[in-house]
Amino acid sequence: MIYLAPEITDFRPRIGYENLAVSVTGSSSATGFPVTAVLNPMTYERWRPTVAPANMIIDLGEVVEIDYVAMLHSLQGATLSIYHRQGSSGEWTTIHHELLITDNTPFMTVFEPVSARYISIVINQIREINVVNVGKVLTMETCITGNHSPGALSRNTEIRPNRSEGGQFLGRSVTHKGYETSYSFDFLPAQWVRDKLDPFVVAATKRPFFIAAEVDRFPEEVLYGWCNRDIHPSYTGALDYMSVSFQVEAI
Amino acid sequence: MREPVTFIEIDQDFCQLTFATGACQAVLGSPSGKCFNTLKTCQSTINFDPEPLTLRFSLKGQKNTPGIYSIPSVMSVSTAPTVINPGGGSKNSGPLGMRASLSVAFQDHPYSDNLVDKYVSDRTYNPLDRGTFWGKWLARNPYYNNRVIRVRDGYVGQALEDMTTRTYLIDKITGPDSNGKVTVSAKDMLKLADNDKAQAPKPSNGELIVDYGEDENITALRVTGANASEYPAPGVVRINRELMSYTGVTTISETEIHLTGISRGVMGSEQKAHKLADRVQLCLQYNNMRVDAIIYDLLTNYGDISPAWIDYAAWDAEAFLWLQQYTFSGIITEPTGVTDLISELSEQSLSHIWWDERQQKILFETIKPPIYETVPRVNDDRNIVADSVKIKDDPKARVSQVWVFFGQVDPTEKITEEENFRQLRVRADLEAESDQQYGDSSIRKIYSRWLITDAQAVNITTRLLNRFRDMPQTLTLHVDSKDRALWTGDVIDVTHRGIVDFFGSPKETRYQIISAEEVEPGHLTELLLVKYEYEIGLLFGRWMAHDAPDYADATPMQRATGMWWGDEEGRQTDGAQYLWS
Repeated sequence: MIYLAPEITDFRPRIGYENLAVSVTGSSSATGFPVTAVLNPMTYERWRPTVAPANMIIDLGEVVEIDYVAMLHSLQGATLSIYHRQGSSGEWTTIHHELLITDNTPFMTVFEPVSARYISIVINQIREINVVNVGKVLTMETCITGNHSPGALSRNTEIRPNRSEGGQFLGRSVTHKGYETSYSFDFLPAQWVRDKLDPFVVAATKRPFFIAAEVDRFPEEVLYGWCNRDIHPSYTGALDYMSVSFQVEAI
Repeated sequence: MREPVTFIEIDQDFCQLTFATGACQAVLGSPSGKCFNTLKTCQSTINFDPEPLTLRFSLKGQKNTPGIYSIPSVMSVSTAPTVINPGGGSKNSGPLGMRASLSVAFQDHPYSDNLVDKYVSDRTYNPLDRGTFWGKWLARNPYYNNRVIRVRDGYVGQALEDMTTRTYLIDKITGPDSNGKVTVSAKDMLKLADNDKAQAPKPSNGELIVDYGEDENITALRVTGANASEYPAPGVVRINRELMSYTGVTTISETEIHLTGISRGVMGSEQKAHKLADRVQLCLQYNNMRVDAIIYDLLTNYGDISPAWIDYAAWDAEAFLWLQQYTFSGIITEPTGVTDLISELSEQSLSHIWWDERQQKILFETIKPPIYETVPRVNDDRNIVADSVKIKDDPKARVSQVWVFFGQVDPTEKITEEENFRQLRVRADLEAESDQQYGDSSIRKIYSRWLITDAQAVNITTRLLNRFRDMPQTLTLHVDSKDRALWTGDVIDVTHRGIVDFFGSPKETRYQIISAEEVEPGHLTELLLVKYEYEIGLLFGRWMAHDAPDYADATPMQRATGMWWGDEEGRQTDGAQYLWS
């Protein structure tokens, strides 16, 4: 689910790839579920506290400008609070306070840029958080063009049925293998591609990212995915515009 | 709708001490840095105090399970299942059948050292930037042989402890190769009793300290190189080709013991001359011991198998019911592979042992009628997956004559030396050898150091011939996981359109599952069946108490487990018939 601060009226797609987090501490951690797991992109490594409410404090190393926080999580049914501040002590400024999380789809929150060094994430129940990204979000210049299968609707599932010799249905096994879709964007200004898109293109070969394509109509359709090939923007032949498309596999 | 999941667990040794703290005498600030709580990296090995640390892996693409940390790096899991060989009839394997094995392929990957490094936060580097999981793990844990590896198959939402769990011992790990592939190979628990690992008796260290003449009277056998505890008294020793019994053992000095009460050339062996430094080998003797007890002793005392892997109470109950006449005596005069010895015992008692990966026990069973259990029924409509059935005859397993050699003359001679046996019992089915039937003979020879009585030999020849007189038929089929409870050793009644009577109608036939494998864990199981000698429709009787009722007044259970004399055609008042064998 993606949340936009009320003052944000730009509903173009968002990509959260940047992560400025340097270190993290947590109130408690179960064996095998250290809080440091949220800093690496491995989706199988998670933080799980032993006592609730629980919190983690992410240190960005220095005061920087940020406008998004994103998480891969299993917080369904818990409340989530996110705060920020510049110093190691003092008052926290609220981004979200006790937001009820209703499902386990990847979480993104986008807000007006703030200067912060410390991000506090508080949950009121024992749950798991896999990945946390904090930084500046990439806002695409245009919306998606062409045929597109929404990520959250593009399931990758293996289905194996069993039928008896007599033709009876015996059973069926299903293996969910995540999601798979592609995104295309046209009419991207060439300079914008070089200034804004290219850093994402570089990062996309190294780490997964959060992507929300329809932030106002379908805010729940956020994916945490990765590209298995380089992304190649190309000129469309119309003036100074470029287009780009890329395949994404997602969890 | 079910969603199968699979977990692989490896138990590694992990020291429960903390570096340079308490009992650990390693030194802080050492150039090697802190250890990784493994023996190879330990800097205070005398205090190394391991406990198993369970590392858990899951299939690539498998979703995380809340509360369970697992690394999704498993590319594939393949197993060769246990195949039992009841009665040792199949020539495709020895009397102990084929053993289960496991192969798990992993994809190597960068790793954060979560769980495996207690001091990861003290390291000066990022473990994700250094090496890979398996590269580091193998460098830190080279002593992985014979450690436990488990496969847990279940479904999303199922607790780990409720999943089907199969246990093996790691045999070897290969890789990582240039593609990052690592393969862990494992075998079942009975690998500890393999001939190259387990011998009975164990080799003795003692040697003669002087020469002895062929006719010399020995009052005390002088032995060096061994402690008195290696020669428990009374006992029998072998020196070259001579067996000597002794009644006592005395420690003379640090380098010499005496075996006293010597009788030379016992048990059919001949007195011989012996030289200084000739080996004095303690013999292993069993006297009137039931077959299950002998096998248990061989496995636990010579095969290094933990008694925790054997439910001996269940073994005892099985043998008490079905194997009372199989008390054996035998002497083994030189170290012999434990698997070979157990194979002999299994074949000569028509029992079999196997490692059941699910129950995680070594099971012991004999070939018997299923009169104390309900036999599950499997058919084309409700159970057998379409297009999965294969039917095959096994002509190599057919037997028309059984020859049993017993009463060994000289235990120091080779066991297959036919002239070395006093008695031979032969049973032949000449009709089966006739041109009208199979047209040739197939002789099975058994050389027994164990059988005591002629009745035992007769029993073996009769039952083996009954079982293998006709070509055994094997059936392979698949069942859905709703029937995954069917497993190796079970007896089932099968109705399939390919198995018919003389008139072409499907005939329900009894089979025993000799091998079972979840070829697609949680989804599909392959069963290998062999036709069972105790067919449907026959009554198998046992001697009853003197106050048992007449047949007409007996309950169905009494009729199923008892026996009454029939009319001149061997039938009861309702037409039922007991099989006298």
